[in-house]
Amino acid sequence: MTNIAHLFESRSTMESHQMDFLAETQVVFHCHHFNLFFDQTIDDALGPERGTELRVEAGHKSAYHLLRGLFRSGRYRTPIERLDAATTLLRAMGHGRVDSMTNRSGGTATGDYLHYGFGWQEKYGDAVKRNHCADAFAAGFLSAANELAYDLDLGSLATRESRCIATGERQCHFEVEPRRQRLLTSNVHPSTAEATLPASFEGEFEDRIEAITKGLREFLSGVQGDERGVIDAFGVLVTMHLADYYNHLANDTLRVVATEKPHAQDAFRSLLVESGQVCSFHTFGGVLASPEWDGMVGAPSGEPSEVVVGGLALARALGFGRWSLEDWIPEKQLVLGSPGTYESLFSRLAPMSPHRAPSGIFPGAALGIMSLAHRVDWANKQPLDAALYRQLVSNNPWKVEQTHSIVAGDDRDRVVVSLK
Amino acid sequence: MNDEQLRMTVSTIPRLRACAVVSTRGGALRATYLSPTESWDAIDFAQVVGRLFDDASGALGLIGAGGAEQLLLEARGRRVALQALDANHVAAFVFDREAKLGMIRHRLDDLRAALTENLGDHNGTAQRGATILEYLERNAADTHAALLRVSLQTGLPMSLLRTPDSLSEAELESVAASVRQILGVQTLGIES
Amino acid sequence: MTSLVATPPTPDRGCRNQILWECGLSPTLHAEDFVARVLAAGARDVGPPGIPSLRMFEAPEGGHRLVFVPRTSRLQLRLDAMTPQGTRVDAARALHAWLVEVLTRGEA
Repeated sequence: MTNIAHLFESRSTMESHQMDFLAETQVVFHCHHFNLFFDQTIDDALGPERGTELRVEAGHKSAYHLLRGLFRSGRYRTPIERLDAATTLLRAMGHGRVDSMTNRSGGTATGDYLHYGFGWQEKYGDAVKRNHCADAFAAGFLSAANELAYDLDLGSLATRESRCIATGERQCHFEVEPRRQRLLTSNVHPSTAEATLPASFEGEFEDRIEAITKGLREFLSGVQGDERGVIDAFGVLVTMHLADYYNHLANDTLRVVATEKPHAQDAFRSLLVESGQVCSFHTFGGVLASPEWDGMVGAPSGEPSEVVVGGLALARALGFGRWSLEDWIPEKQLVLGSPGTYESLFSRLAPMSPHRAPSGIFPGAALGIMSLAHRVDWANKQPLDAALYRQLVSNNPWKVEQTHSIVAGDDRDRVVVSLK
Repeated sequence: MNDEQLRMTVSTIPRLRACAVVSTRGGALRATYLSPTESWDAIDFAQVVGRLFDDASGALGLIGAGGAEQLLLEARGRRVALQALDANHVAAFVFDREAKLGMIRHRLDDLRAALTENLGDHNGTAQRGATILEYLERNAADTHAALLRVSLQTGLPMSLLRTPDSLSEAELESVAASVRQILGVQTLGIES
Repeated sequence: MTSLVATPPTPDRGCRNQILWECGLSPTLHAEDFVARVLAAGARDVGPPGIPSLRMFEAPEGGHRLVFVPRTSRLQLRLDAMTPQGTRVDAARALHAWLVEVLTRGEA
């Protein structure tokens, strides 16, 4: 049985830029609302079949990098040890539980409490019928885990989810089969991150943001999946996820959209920004409303600066980057800067291409922070429900623009939220 | 009307570089033909053309002259002729600077009927398009993002989706399929 | 008998469907007393370690949690994430009833 503490020994943080790594693979925390919305956007762009293929591939590539880094320690030598370590890690990261019945030629696996399938059920229940499986990340993870367990090359195995609780089944099932695929992968390594990112800087309210970030990081250092692989922290369903899963997907999908549906590029970009709003409302909002926040920082009183400071501290603690407040005119303008985010870092390192995905999380979350700060009645504990979210985004008086990007060679990413 | 129909109708016109059929409401691009020499963004062009024709009609209306029927723009490299097709659509023809004005006028008169015919019956589809998108707005879980999702699924630009009466029959079917997928249903409650 | 739990559970703020419930405690109940009673009734202290401003307990049955802020006496009943959707209201009420029983044990 794998010792979870050993799995997290390789956890590290680039303090200057508030980016986190596990086995030299960049990790971030995200909630099920964001994860489902992001995957949905990919499927909207590519169709459910091709979307699923690309999502499995992104999971495969990013998980391969993670697990290869993990196994480099030499601690896990046999296939059984490696598979156990991999599935234990998946559980600890909050992605649910898989049981793999495989050998070097493949086999089958079952999944319980898998994040995407369970998250879908939790969010939509019977309200929206889903016809295709949701756990592409777990499928890709299984391919990578089995390839590395049996010393096979990347791309030697392919996994398909054949049954999923999101489509009404009782349990998730996977089939792992041999297949020759050429998978090109580019991943962010801590050393290249350090060499690439511009110098860090401070903004307004820095002392307050730093102090809260420190407390949050201390709390999050103890957060991991329970025996089912579920992380319920701050009352939010979260996962520790692989930044490159999102990055591979955003970039590969944009390439397809630009070629095959050029008129829909704007919609794709807008939905990536929307996913950032989804994150800020559900994750940031959920955390700010939580008793954990109450205990560690103090419940928001209704003073907008508390929410702005809190949002920035959360972004840092979740590994999004060192987001800072450059300027803020209450109700009118919010300017955030960061010496790179987990999205722009990947795009900066990606080979030159006209189709590098724009940031979604930074501009979207900035817009969300402004809404949370000024349009939520914190003092009277206004419920943070779906109806409020629709109201906030439908009648949004602000727009957001990204004015600077490290991808373009600027010394920072900068987003400006201003009145329409 | 689709791009292929437009190409078949206009591509043999001498000195014609490009043609765009545009909905004057919202400037949505209905169909486009670009010869290999042209590489500009037809969507942006359509939006400007839609506004320009609308403004021109507005100016003429102020002096009691009725709506615009034709506009001619001359520049160093090109001659651009805008021809009203019906109350909601205009065709923009981009010619070489050397194209003769007489030839342009003559061709536009000939083409008007052919292009208008290909726009199809819009009364039925116009109503249906608006009804389907209203249904989506009422029933989608993430209402504000729903139209973006339709755009991404169908590949149709937002400008076109915001003027659903401009959708062709094929585009409407594509939108309806997208709405069914988003709502997770086999049929929409409003479809017969 | 004096009830030391002031209010029945009402939905607490958050993005989850009936998982989070707010429960108001009587202002006469000291935080230390609450903790002592809950632990004596078999709840398990689940941390988080090193953060005394926040206490979390797992109820003896169901895997549900009590998330308590001693400074403000804020109490959240946090149902187990896998509680079936149709049963959550009942689960919250049952947890509340258990809590009332625990906090009123030995009262006249």
